[in-house]
Amino acid sequence: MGPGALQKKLEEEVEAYKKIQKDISKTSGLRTQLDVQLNENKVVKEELDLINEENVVYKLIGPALIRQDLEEARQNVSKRVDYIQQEIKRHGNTIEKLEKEAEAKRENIAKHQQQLQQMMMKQAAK
Amino acid sequence: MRVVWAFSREESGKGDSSFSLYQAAPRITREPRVRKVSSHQLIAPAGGLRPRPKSQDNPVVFSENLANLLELKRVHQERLEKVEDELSKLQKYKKDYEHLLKRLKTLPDKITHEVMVPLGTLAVVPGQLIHTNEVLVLLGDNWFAERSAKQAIHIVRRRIKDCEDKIRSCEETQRIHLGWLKEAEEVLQGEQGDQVEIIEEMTEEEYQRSQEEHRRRVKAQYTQLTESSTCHPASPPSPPSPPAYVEGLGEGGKRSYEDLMRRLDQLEVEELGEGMEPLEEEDEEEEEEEEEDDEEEEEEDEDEAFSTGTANDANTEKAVTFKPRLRLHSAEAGGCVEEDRAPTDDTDDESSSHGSEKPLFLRKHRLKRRVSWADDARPLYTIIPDDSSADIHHIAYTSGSTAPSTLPLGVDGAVGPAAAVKEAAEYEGDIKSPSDIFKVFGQPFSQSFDDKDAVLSSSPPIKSILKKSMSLPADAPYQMWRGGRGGRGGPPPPPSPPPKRSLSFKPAFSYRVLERKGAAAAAATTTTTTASTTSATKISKVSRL
Repeated sequence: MGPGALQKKLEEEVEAYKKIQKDISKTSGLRTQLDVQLNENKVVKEELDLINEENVVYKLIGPALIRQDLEEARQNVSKRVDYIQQEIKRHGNTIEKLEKEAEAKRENIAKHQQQLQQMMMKQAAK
Repeated sequence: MRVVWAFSREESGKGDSSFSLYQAAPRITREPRVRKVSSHQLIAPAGGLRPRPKSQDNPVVFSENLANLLELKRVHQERLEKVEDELSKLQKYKKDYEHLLKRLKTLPDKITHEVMVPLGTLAVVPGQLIHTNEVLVLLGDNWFAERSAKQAIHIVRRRIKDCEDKIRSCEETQRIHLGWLKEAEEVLQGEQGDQVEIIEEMTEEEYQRSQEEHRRRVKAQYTQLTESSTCHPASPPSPPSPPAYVEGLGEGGKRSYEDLMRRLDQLEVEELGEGMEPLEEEDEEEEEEEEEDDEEEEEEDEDEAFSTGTANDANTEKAVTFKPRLRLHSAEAGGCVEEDRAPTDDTDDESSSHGSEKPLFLRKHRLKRRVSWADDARPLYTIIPDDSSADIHHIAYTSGSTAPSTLPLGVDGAVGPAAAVKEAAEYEGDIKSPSDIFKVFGQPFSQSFDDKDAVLSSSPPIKSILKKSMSLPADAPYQMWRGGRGGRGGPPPPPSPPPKRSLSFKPAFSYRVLERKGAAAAAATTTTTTASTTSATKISKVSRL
């Protein structure tokens, strides 16, 4: 493979690697956001557990405060907590996978670079 | 005008997720603190100073390291700034919550409050605050709860506590970053200020001479200590101040450390040969003063812990003291190595050189904490227990009216064929052809027997293997397998015509229900013998007819 072709291949690999990196950062950003949401929902859950039946619970849906049943609200929040935890796990897995791919790509790129360098040296020697 | 004033939304924020509403506090710029270090930070290598060549470090490496350090420093700085932002934000929140707390306390004092109500961003109108005890609290994630003022106060208190926790953790991180930056700064400062790098410049010969001197003193000290300790051979004095990390080693580790040190000293002396001189105490003290690191303490220990043994006498003595120590270790660790080596150690202990090698060898083993099974290695034999061993579960089965075959089945019946073959081989010894197999195993079909020998004593009827006759040769391997899987009734009868089979023997499957859980009583009456032998499960179709 001539150096030109190799170089092009290297560039492609670098592009792919960058894309993977972007994916990784995006997913980890999502994950942090989910973490924040999880914390918040945990706090809400605690508070809801503390209040007793007589108080009223509302939910802000759009511009309106809609009255909610306490039990229903509690269940909703617990379900949401579980859901967020699942999402976090899922994202975590995705991140791991992406990182592995990125690692492989990195090695690949290094290898190609080495090859390219050797070729350059050979050509220079010639 | 009724105004439902959700205090918590306005003042205290919507929990953690909506920090963006708040203006970030102005950045607090920090300059890296440059401190003059007054105390000596001495980085002297262990074992004394070595002569350094005049041209110092490799400049390329140095600049690389410098660049890396600067980069790291920059990153730390960034993190620190972020943490400080967070910290200030949290403190603002806390202050807001405290204001809110105050407001909530005073709110229910009056049933209505006269207030100026903001209308949009540019206007305020006079108005009244009513329902003063009813507060709508944002719990987070668009959930609201109506609470009384007092209950709202409780909520606010909880939030303040959360804030404080977060502040504490932020401060911790901040402290860590600051500490790191400070150290990095000091490293970078390097030569400036009172910090001095200890460089003692000497030529090669000077170095050699100093080494010689050191060795002599070491020997002298060694002898001196052994002479003093021969009066007390029982307990070798422990090193006065073991390095800090030894404390954490625990009993076994400490002892091995001491042994190691003693051993090293002993070897050093041996290496250097005889010839002692009285040690000069002042030099040691000087060394003590100058050097503070743990490594230096180690060196001290080396000097002072020549507790046992002169060149030759001590070796044997030490070897002797080693033995009980070894035994102790073996008792502790329970490792094979020590126990195996101990007898050899006994034999080799006459000459000190041997003794010296063995304990070292042993010590290495001990320190490595390796258990070697080399001496205990036994080739793993496949043990096929013979007939009388308890491992074999004899499951009696029968293929028909004949008495149960007592072919051994081996453990779990899994090695039935193999065991059967083995047994046959034992008896016959000359199974050389398939027909021999038949001869050996074909008997169950035609005869009833209780004794294995009966199989072999009688000559089997010679049959063609192709005919589907009474004693079906094709069944011979089947029977072996049947023997192998004693737990089941065996494979279904081959497609050979059942009536012919019935001439010679009943089918293996007796079709008789031995025992059902529900009908255990009934079964017991009918098949009393079987009830005693078989378990009450449907799975076992073994029948003793």
